[in-house]
Amino acid sequence: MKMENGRAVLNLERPIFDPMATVVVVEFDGDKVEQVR
Amino acid sequence: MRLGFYYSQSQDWHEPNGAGNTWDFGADEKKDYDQYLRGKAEPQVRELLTGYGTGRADLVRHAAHDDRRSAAPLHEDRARSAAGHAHRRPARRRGRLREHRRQRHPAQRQGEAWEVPATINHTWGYRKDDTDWKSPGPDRLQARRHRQQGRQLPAERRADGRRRHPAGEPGHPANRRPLAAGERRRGYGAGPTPFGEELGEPSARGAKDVRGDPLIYQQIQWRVTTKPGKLFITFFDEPRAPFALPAIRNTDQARLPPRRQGAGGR
Repeated sequence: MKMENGRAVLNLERPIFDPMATVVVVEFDGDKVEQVR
Repeated sequence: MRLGFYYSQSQDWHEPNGAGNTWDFGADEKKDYDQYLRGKAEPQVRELLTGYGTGRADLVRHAAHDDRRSAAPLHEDRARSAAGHAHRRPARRRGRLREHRRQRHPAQRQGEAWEVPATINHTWGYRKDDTDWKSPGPDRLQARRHRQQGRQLPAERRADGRRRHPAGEPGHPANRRPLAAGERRRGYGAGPTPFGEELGEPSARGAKDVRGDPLIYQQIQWRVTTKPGKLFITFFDEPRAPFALPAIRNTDQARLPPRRQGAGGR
């Protein structure tokens, strides 16, 4: 994951781990997401 | 093992005075619902509650016609049975969930707990020829939502008693134990998405669907659930390009979960 213009950008390997449903965990500081509006 | 029944009254396409069949029997408002209730529903409920020894009857009432009028006899029958009881859908009975339209998940973030009555093929009752199962992605979405709400995905069964779909098999994510209330309070359960844009959006032109409701363009490529300090992003389609999350301030790292990678949810 890298940050671009304030947004977290995920680069996932292909083929994806599970084509049915792959879960990625993004950790953040604190208990709540602080969205940029 | 006790015997249980699911009795869904009001909607009865076979009976001239039952609700739902407007193409054969005309508008529901003009039907004699009492005749249907007294002549068919009540005797059948009575038989279920009293005719099979210690059998248990779980009665699910549909809110159609005058619900107050239909409730009393069902509860009278409840009293006749040592083990029977009548209720609305279990989640609604707890008074914690808003029920959305059948088969259609809301495409906007909800500020309250909710449920959608839905099937995993296209049939509410049993139909041997309906083998058009919904694809695994939406099934898992549905399972995830049920787990978020601490409930199990309703299992559907074949006429011979076998489960109808792998979603009902032991070990399937949809079939995990629901979280207890204390576990949810302590953060074991997943919270709702903080975003909402991944759910879809209503028609910008204000178009209506065939039922006259606002037309919603639902998206099912990815979903998000939360726990304190973590976002769980589930991809149901393979991202073919770098995937940008909605802008948030307080994040700087991502990883695949250490266990059950790709299992489809938390």
